[in-house]
Amino acid sequence: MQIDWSTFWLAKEGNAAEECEDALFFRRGSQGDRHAATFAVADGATESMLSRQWANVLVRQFCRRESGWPLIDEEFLEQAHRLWQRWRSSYLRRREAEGRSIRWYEEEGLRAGAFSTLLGLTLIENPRMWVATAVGDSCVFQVRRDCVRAAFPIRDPTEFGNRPPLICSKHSCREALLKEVRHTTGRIRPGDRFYLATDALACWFLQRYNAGEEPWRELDELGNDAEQGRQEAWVSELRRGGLLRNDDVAVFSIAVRST
Amino acid sequence: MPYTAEISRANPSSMIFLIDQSGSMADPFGGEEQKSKADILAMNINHNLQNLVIRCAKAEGVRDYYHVGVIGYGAQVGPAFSGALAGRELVPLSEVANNPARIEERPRKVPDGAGGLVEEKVRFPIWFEPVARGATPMCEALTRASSLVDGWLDEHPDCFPPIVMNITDGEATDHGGDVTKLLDAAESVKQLASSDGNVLLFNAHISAGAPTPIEFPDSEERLPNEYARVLFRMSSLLPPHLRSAAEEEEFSVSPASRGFLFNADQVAIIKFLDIGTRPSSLR
Repeated sequence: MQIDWSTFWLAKEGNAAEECEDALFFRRGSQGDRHAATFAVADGATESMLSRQWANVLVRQFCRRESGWPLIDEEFLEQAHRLWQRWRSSYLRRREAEGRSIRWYEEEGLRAGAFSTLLGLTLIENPRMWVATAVGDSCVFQVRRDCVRAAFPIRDPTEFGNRPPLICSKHSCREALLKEVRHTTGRIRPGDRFYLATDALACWFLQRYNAGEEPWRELDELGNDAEQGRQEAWVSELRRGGLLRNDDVAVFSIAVRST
Repeated sequence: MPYTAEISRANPSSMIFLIDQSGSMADPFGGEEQKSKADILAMNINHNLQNLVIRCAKAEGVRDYYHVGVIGYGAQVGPAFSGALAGRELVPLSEVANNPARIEERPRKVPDGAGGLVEEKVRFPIWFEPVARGATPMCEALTRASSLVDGWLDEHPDCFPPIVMNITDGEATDHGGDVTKLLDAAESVKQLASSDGNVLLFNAHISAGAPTPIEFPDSEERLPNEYARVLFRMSSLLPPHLRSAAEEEEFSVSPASRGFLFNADQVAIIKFLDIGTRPSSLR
């Protein structure tokens, strides 16, 4: 399967780049792998501590899975939580060693855990199909012949709110969380395009599509990380015009050239 | 649409608490409560500030989404912060977070992740101690708040409108019996505005003796006396997002509900402060 892809991310206006709490990751399968490619986006919750780091753990761990059905399931959460515990312990030790003890106002947030959405898309070689799995309001859209064939997990832009379900970094939340996982599948044809986006841009995409436009064309024209200036200008203009909520932005644009 | 401005570090908002520190605040709080009204009020303000700081905290820092002022009124009227913040009128939240007067360590039982509970030490910041001395110069406190907010709005003309929360146990004593002076002082706060809407003034009356509380009324109809009716007229309407917050806390509200509690008990005061400091959008 020949796949082309591009990506960009931007922090919320007013925040520094390193404060962006959206995360993206990608892994291309090796020759003979059943998973041709895996993409993941995650949106760390603003009101939780260390959510940026947790979002990064989630996207990386999701893309590392090389076998099995690519879903947010018990096994995936077990691995992610284990990885998180190791990172968190190391982080706290480093803070103490460097004389930067945990402040009183960090204790509650550390106790409560970090929170993030996660959306994973896997393109499977044989049979030619795609699988998407999600917790929260980061989305994937499949476009075929200038029509949105699938919008997952949200189809209606009015459904975006301030309280999506989130994956918690504490393993004690696991049982309740598994009830929030959603997944879907579909076939892949040559020429199919997929777009993964965190909520602000996903909402913009659906609003433009519902208004009779083809928002994917604007994303396709924007290119990749090397053209950061153009992407920033485009996002800033949308924010100024009130068409895009001021929030972190992360997006993958994926084209299936041949199968 | 008003009351929709984003609250951010580039465009912060402010919160000002006016706390009654008159002599009558030494009386016990309503019903069976053994602590004084001043004890309860200090405890609630400390708790509320703690929650606000935690909500705005990120790793190794607190984001200055808000600047906070606390004006005490009793024997004198002025900033109520002590210690490193003594004399400060409006303080960025990060400085509030880093400068409590003292920190208490208290034991708390928390789940151990294996179905049991384990005791751990939790740190509680204290900014305010209970004070109960003097009369009730509420007009002066409101005038002071108006001046403070006016100065803030000069520097932040597009902010989410500041919220002023007045908590008192009794009638003002500095209006010479003329309630229009009190209403005018309240109006001097409410008529101030940013580009996103008018400044909000909410009032909570706390009472000894556990009479029937009246919470977020939408008319003067059920109010028991002229004093309550004056406080009602002094109070701003609840904007939509705070009406939703009040509904989430299981208060019965309508579009005409004002940010006003009369004969409030301790639970209602905690919720009142929490609702008033609920951010509309910190996403």
